[in-house]
Amino acid sequence: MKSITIKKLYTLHSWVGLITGILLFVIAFSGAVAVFTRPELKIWSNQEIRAEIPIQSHKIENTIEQYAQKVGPDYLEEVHIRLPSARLSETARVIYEGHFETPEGGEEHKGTVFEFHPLNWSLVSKNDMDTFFELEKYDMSTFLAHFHADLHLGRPVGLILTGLLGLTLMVSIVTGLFIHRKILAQLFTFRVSKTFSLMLNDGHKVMSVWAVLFHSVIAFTGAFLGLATVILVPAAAYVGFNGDQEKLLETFTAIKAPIVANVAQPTKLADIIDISIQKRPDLTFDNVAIMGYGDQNALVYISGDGSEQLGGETLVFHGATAEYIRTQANFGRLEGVTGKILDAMFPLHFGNFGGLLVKCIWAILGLSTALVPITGLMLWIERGLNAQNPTHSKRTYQNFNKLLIGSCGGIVLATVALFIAQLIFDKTLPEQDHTSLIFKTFFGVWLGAIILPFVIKQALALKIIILGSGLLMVLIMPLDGLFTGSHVFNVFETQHYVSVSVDLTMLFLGTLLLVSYNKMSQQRHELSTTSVPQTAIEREA
Amino acid sequence: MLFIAIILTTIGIFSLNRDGALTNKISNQVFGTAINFAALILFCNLYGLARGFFIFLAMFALLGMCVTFLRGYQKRA
Repeated sequence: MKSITIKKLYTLHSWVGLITGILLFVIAFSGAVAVFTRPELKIWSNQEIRAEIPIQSHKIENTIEQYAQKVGPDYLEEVHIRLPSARLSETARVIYEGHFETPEGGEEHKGTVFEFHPLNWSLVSKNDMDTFFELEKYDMSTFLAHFHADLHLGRPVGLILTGLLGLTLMVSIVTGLFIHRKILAQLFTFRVSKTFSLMLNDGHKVMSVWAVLFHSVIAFTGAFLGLATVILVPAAAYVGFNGDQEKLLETFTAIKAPIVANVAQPTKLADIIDISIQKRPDLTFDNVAIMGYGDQNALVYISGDGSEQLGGETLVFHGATAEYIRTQANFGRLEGVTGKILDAMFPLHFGNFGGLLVKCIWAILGLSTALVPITGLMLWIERGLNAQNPTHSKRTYQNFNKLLIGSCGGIVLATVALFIAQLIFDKTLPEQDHTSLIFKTFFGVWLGAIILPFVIKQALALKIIILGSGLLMVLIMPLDGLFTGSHVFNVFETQHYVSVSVDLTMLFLGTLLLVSYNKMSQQRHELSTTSVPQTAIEREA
Repeated sequence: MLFIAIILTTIGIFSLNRDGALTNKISNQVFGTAINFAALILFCNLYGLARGFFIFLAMFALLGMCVTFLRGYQKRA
């Protein structure tokens, strides 16, 4: 390739990194945490679901029938149940949904959402469907998952932004591969003992090249998940279904309504759940959809994860007889590989297809995705500050460095602060909605961290952010033990294995951060006493 | 079997390294590729074809990075 083309690609690579680098870090870091939001952090942040929850099939059947009588026959076209045993939400959720004709001749979906206590199935709340989804309550795990999806900018703006970031990551990967064509010659090269600039350069390349396929998968699936609902589905509906998005979704999704016979016959939900558990012990069932509840032709779809299928599986039963019909994937009705690819998008992005080991690998590699743009930006600042004739003023590089420290360090600090905040809010304001407090804590801490390097020395700001994050991480375990009474010494009694594991992990990560920072400080001190030149970034700090 | 698959991946990565670069020796390249292929088969056997393939790729990336970083720090020490 001509050197002039390489130079153009290098310029493109640099500009894309400069414009999107910080946002990419924010998205990738929140993604690495979001890997554990369901169910690990969900379990940690809700005391009611910390211990295992057995599937009470008869209790579920009785409750569904009891509330079906209350909502009336118009709302039994679809019944959606979130099973509490999967511990994906703090309550067992049941939606009774009906389809109604609008005066314009269209179709409108209306429904009632009941939330039940996950253990005793007592009623917690009742809302109509629109209100429920508009006023969704957030705990720290839901907040983090949504922050990764759309940065809480709302939909479609947030989704489009994260989708576009996926695309820019793909651009960076492709241009990076072209400009570092001889990268294989330095595949195992990481030089710590030379200059800081060289270490950053090597680190950037090592993380980019070794995990290039991972970064590509994350970029592609991220772009797809971000843009699919706001651009791809409307576009496909416009082309193939005269703009009717619901018809398109009904055509391609696996849960299809039966032809209702209008002959009443009880839906044998308990039997279906019991048969499913016996038939597929490898699956963790999380959702049940009943189409045409209480009708002779009712169909029951029970979904679960944990099998060899990447996107989970759905078992289909005849509702009135509990007769097993088939097993299908979410997009199983699409012929060829299309359905398989669509099914794989979500699990490949979140790494929730092979247990805790895969989630840990996804989180670590996700952190590398976050660090690649940061090392690139640091390299740009370091080179700019060292250059004889830099492209921009020294002040520009300094301010960019401050922004980098505040925004990237701040997102780590804000995320950790949410753990502490959740514990404090649960203790001091029990039974209350913490959504606004969670928002204020996260964005308050983040904003504070962004401003900090601009008002005090940036080295001090960095120290405060790192030590603050480390100390908060270490504090999580003792605070959790103090506030909830759940700790490592009574874990066999309480059976809170997941939440205690989260506590232990945070304690380990906090200690690691503090020890690493201490070690780096010592090394810097030794270097300064032996008069070895500091890095340009450090000199400016 | 998972442990063996991880060990095989690590050995495969080590055998591809020669002084910080991808080895030029064909025999080492063939050996490294074969070992990694064996690891891939083990992952596929454990998790199924699609899942095993992606888990192997992720494990390969993670171990490759770890080996490179540890090698850098080891040389410094």
